[in-house]
Amino acid sequence: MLRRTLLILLGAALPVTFLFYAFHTRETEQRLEVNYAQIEAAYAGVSMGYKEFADVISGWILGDPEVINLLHQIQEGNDVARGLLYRHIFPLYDSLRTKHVRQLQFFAPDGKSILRMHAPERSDDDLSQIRPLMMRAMATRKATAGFENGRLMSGFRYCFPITDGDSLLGGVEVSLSFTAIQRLVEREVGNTATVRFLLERNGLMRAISDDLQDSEPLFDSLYLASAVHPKYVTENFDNPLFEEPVVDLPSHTAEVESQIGNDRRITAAMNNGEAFARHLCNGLTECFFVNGLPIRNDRNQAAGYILTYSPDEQYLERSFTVLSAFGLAILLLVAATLLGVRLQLTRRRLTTLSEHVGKGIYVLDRKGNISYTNPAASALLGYSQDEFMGQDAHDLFHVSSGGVAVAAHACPIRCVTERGEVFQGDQEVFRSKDGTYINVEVTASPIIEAGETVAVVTVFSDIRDRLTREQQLRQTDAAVQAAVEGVLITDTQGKIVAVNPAFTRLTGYAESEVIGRKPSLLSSGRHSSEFYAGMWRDLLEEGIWQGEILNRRKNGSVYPQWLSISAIRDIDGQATSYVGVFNDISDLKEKEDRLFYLAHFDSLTGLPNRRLLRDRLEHAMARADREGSVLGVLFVDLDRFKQVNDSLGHEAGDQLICQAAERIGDGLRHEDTLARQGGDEFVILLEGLADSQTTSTVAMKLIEAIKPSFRLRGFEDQFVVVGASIGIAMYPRDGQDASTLLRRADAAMYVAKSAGGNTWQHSNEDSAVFAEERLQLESELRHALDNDELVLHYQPKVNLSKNMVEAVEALIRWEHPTRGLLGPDKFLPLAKESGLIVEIGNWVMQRAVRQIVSWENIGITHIRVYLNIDGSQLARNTYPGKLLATLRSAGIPPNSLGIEVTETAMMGRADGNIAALKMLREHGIALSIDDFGTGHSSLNRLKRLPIDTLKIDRSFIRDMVDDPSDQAIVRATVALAQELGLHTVAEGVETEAQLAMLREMGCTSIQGYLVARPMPASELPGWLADKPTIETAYPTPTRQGLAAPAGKR
Amino acid sequence: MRVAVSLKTAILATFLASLPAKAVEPDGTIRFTPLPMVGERALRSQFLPMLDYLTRETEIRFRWTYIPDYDGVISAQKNDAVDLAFLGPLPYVALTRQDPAFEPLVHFREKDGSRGYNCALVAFNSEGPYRTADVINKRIGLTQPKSTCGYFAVSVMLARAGRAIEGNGNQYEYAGGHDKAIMGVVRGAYDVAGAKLAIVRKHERLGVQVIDQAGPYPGFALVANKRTMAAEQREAIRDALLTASQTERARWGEPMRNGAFSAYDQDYEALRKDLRRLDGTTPEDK
Repeated sequence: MLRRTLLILLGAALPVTFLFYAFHTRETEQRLEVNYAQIEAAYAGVSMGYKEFADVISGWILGDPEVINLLHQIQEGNDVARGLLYRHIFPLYDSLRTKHVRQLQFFAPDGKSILRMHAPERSDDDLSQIRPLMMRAMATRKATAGFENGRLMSGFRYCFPITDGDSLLGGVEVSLSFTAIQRLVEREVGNTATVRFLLERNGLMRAISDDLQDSEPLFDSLYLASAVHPKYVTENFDNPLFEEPVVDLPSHTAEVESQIGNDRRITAAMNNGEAFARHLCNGLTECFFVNGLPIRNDRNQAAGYILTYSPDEQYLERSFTVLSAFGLAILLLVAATLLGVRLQLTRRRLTTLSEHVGKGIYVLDRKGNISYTNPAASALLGYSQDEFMGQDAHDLFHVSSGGVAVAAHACPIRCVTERGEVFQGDQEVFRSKDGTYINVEVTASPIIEAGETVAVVTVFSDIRDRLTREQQLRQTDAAVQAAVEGVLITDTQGKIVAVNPAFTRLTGYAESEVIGRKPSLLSSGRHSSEFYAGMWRDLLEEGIWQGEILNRRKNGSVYPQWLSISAIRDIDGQATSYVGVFNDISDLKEKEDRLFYLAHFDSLTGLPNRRLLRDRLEHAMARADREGSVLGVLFVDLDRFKQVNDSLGHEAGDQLICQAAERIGDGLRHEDTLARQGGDEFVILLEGLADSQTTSTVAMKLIEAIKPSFRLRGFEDQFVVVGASIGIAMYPRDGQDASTLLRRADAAMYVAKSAGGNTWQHSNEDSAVFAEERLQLESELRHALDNDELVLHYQPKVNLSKNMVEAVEALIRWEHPTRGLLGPDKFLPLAKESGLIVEIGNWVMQRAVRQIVSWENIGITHIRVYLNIDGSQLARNTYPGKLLATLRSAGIPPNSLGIEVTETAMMGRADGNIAALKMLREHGIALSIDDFGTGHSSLNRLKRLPIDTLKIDRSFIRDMVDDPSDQAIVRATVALAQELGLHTVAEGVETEAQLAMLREMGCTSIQGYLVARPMPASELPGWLADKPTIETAYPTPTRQGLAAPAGKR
Repeated sequence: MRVAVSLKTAILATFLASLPAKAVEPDGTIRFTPLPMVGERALRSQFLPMLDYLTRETEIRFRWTYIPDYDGVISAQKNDAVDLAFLGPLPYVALTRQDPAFEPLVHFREKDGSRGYNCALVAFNSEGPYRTADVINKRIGLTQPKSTCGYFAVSVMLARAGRAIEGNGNQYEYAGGHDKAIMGVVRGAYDVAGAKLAIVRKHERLGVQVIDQAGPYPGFALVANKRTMAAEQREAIRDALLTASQTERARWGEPMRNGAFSAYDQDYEALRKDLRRLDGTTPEDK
């Protein structure tokens, strides 16, 4: 009775529920229809209303003879007439702006713009391809109207031809602002509605890119992507080109439009350019009426949409009513089911479901015989339903259970009939009709009526594929777990679902710390969003991405990985997960970086080397071409560096190079390049210069920066002073390629150096010639040694106390085949720079020793011959041994020889070299410090040097008679030498007054033109013989006439 | 016409209005402000992509600070309330005249790629005057207060011809922009106007005639406060801006999109010289 009552109530409740639902649905549809009609009417009303408005405007313009006159003048090329037309129309245009007219534009008959009132600076561009409405108006001489895209602005346009009699002068176009339409539509649909305009992206792009090569940035600044549909955009009123006020959108805009964009029906309608009306809900409480009206262009294509959406504020109330009725019906249904309907329904459902499910189903009666099978059971086991019926299921196909064969009475499925308990097993094996063994998963459930099991429903499925997959997975998992590479697996949402131990080892993250999180937690932040976008694009399109990526460990350190990501797809080709496999390639990168560094940077200073310089120079030239600027190449060579290197050693030289590099670098801008060319040469690139004057300023600063003395470690008591010679070449003036520029700068540098150093020189034809000549001279000097063109001249030294010639100084000359006799100043600097100085020094040593032998053979035995030794020769520890061996070989005693070393070279010698000098001294070779007074002597060091003589520099002797300072220096030097037990030789003595003063001071010997000029070896015996006797008091008055230009060399 | 305010009054007012000085943020965040040339929303869309780029390249974080008036920007810099600012040449000169602790890091190139710009005095071709010396009893259109090509450059050009913007019976008015000043001449609202030469060139097809020029003047610059920003930070920002790719710059606002080059205080010497020529008339007074 109760069941019947419930069924009657249910019968009543269900129609009521459906009635409420139908009413609810109809009301929603009606609201959508009304909304759509309102939008359509508003749009049509605005279009038509403005058409009348535009007609009036065109009437004013077309009927104005001044406008016609000015248009004639503009077409004759009169620019002033264009300005006057603007001036004439401006008051009208200004008032139209307040009525939402966006544009007013005049066209020529060929479609070119004559005057845009909204952008008057732009004219004469051809719009014939993107303004079909205007072209049609001019072709038909009839007004046209419609929606149209524009190069910058799209809108509803009204086009009117302008004629003067029969002649077509052009056209005028009035474009309507969307804001006007928007406000009117808003008024129609109520202020709770949001009205949005969507514009079709491709049509806009075509219009914009018509004559703009790089139109994408402009497009992106004008339009914003819409979440509603990927092919549509909205105008970005932040861009001032629109001249529209920015209106804040409701807070729910983004969410609602995203939901609209996810609605398949709306997307489909927009794909086809059709109108749409939808009721969309976000959860149970927020619902919206959404309408879209397509705006069509002159080809009837959807060029845009008016989109409106307004909240359905009564939705909750209506839904409550429907849900209440529905809930009541459900309650009644549940109650009826409890009272017995359930079994009947279950059976019916079971039968229906079983026919369609993929799993095999059979039903056993109490005896264990099959009373029902579904088609899937036949498909799996190969028996027809008739063949199944009445058979003992166990005997027919059940082979084993739990991995062992079981007897029929122990069959766990059959036992369900007795025990009434559900049996589940996944280790059952069935045999199909053709004898195939099938692993199956089985669930056997009793059907109990009135407390008794009346049947058993058995559901089984073939699990062979699953077992195979599980086996494969176990193997794969073992491989992944043991892999050296880090592995992480994400789902399609990008959340990590698995990682292997190597992942933990490489990243520092435990599995529990990353499961469920996104791989972005590993991100280093060093890659741009474009990088990741490209990665995802490859993954989505190709299914694989490989590359180098910087990621961050848990401890914060960033390291490079080689990462391969593959999409795992299902049989439909849909990605189900992504697997990333990666290696830490830090070591590899470090080696690469190190190799790159070694190949491109100087190991001493860390500056770019020659190779990198050339690369940067070529890039800089390309930049200068692009920017129309000039480029300066400064070739810097340190003056006197070689002396420092030779006298203080290579380690000191290296320190000097580093400190000089720092000083040069400090004087440059960040964007300039300082490179070490090799040795003491640097090259500077100055970019972005307006003219060459700047390079001179920089060169001057650099020279000033190098001037102050350097303090070198190990030589703290010395002030090391060098200079800089700078050659400057300008691009493009002095050369069109890197080699030429560097060569020209190098040549200019040599000119600067030859001018005495500490200066700069711009490249010019003279400097190029100078460099060529220098190269020529160097080549000739090499040949001079082979061709025996070098000769030694000898200048006597006279001992004042003994009044006799006691020594001569050997001085080198070059008998150049075309340039005559060259003094050492003409070629020794070049010999030092080119390294020939050592070879020349050896030649001097050999030649002087041979000369001593020659003189001995004619009886000149008492004169010691002094050789000048360059610092670089002294730096070679082999020199003393070689000198002694040469003397031994010639059979002459060492006391026939002396060597002169400059003060700078001598004072800077390392202790090891002093030992070598001592050895020479101990063998009887006299040692003299040349040019004493011009360097920086330490008295303490002077005391320890194995020397015999101080040779006072000529610069002090020259003015000593008149200059009290020089006189004091000479006197002090002589006194110092006497204190130390050393001899003194004054060089450059030219007058008797100097001689008298030196004699009075106690100077030991003199050398200079007062005695004799340097002379060939062949003349010396004659000169000696010409004197009455060597022992005769010296000087003689007759020698005064020799006092002429100074200099021993 | 605007009422001129004396320099001393302006300085005093901004000084009193400003907050106490505060050093750079404790976490090293740099406080950035642009000149309020347009609305804040537009400024944010122009500058935030550039600041994002700088953060990526230098790992320096930036805090956006918006100050709605020119004087406030200058005052905030002097009081160490901002560390980095985007300034035109005149505000920079005005700032460094009061406080030398500021360094221009980079200039931004003009749209045509040039490193600076000229200002022009223009008239409509069908009417007089045709020479600067004829600017007597004329209506003069200016761009905006603080614009280099506005009151300042027009004064320089007129002074060279022995004329004065506020003398010889002349009257001036701010049109609100370069285009507006030029179009004011075309419309007949002004007899002459001052504007950027590059913008004037675009309007020549409307019969606009250039009658005088001033400059060139350096463009906008990023100006760093040396008191609050470390040398390494300034160098890193300068370096990142000098090496920004064209693709990256395409995302930035128009003023920065055309590339940067190193800026030096000496770049402003020509402008300072013109300023001195005006016999003490200062741009911030106008």
